Amino acid sequence: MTAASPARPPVRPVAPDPRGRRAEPEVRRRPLRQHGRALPYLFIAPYFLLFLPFGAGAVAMAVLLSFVSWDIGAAPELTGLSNYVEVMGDPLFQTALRNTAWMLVAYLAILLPLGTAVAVALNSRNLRGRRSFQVALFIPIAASLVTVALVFQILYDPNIGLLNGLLTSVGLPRVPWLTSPAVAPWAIIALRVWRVVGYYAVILFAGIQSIPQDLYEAAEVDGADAWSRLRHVTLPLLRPVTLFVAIAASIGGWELFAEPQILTEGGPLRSTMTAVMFIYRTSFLEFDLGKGAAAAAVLAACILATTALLNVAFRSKT
Amino acid sequence: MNRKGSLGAYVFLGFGAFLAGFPILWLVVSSLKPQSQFANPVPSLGSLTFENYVVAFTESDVGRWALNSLLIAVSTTILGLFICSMAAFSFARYQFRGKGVLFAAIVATVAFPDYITLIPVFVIERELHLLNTTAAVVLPLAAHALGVFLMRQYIAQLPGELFDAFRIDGSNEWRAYWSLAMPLVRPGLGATGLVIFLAAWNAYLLPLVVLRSPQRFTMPLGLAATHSQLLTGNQSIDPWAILTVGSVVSIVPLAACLIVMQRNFISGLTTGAVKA
Repeated sequence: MTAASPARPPVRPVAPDPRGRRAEPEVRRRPLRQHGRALPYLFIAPYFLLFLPFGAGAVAMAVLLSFVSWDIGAAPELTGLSNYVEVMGDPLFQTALRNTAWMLVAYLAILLPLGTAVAVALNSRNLRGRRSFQVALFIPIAASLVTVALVFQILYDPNIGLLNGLLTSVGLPRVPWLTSPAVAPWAIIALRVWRVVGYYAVILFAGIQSIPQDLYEAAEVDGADAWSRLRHVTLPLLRPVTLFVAIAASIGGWELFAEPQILTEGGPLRSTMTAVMFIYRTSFLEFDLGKGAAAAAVLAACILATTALLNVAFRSKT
Repeated sequence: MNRKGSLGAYVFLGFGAFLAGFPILWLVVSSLKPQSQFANPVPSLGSLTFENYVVAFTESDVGRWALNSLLIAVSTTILGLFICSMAAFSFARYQFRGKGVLFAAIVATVAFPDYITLIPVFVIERELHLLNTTAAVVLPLAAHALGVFLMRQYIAQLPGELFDAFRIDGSNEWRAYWSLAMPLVRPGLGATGLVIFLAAWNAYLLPLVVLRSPQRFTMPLGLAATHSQLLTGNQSIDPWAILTVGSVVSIVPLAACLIVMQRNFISGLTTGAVKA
């Protein structure tokens, strides 16, 4: 990507004196003249000061928590696998897991072809305003999920919403976007796809651009038309990037939370209840931290399994 | 390429760009509708007014939420850029024991989603009496794993001779980091800063759990709370004014920023994806 212009001479110290003002970790006060053994550790120390408790430590603790019974306020108590047994037997969790899984599959099935199509379109020769198209497609990902969910709430509103406004103006019946168990999950999937498709398309586009041009020229010499160039050059060579997108999107899909939380609160009839909503409710509304952590661990296992599955699927087809 | 193919691309991309931008445009229009027009999806242009903005900023906490969000996002960005770039400098420039493991540990957490660490972070912050403070959101978000990864890529691209020459001058390693490397990777700082800023500005799950009093709410929290009051029909002033105005305040400055910084932003968010 953008190479930081390396030829520029090291001018302009941005800061005053390194030992000067502003409060900040030890590193500054010590003379770092000699390349001491401690030096690299001093540089990573401030990051690790936060990363240890809130990153690595939190992950380790999450695993431990799933093996204890701990109601907020009481002392934790080791209970082995009972949290797992309890959570796997919970019908609400089963529903949540099933909803999340099928919505994820539908989401990927729409997102990947659509994102690839947009990326291929972005790559068409002599396209003017390529950058502007990219930025426009990119804007939704910059907006907060909560805000996006609210905007869609208004779009989907049965009475004052724009979508039903359009439908009724051409004489079609109103659609209960968020109040029918058959429609609500699709309304949420549509929101998801709208939000991320431009982002992934730009990533896929960058991947297409890194495919060596002479492969296309060779294919053209062999008489391949645009469609077969796409099928036999672009798509196979793009596969590693497509795999990355599929993995990133599937992680995002398993973590579906803010949209249903805001738009439907899991309803109607639990049709949009997701796994993270279950974890959130169990841990922070019912205060059962151990059970919540076990559910989180099950979900993490689902994510790992999906990642492995996608890896195998994408590798084997080559 | 033949004409037909290009025309198809323009139509397709144009339609896509329209779909991407339209809900936001429509949101802006909605925020300018007078109360009486709210049920009307297509109001007349003459009726548009800033009335909702006046109501939202004087009679609700929208202004406070925006300030809280800004404070959190700016603090996270500054702290995050600082510690991420220092760590990245070390990973890019030095050999040391445990380097591989430590770096792998950071990258691995990218794969662990927020909700897994949510409960431990809550417990740790409760023990440290950090709940309901700005730091409760800033500290976990500042340890941005992708930030280290991105900054390391930028710093690793700097030629080693630059640093050798600098060292002969007798300058110390701190200066090599602060006065040499940092000014040279300014594009990287911009891209990484935006990624961190966005994550903090838009954060929902973490603030939802660690911020409890309404005065501390960030914009996403405040809007979500307003919205759930709307669902229960338990509100004092018009919630649509708060919701539309708050949403505009939370999206439009960012979108403007994105258009100005487009190059940096796009390269920042796509680096790593393609190289990996």
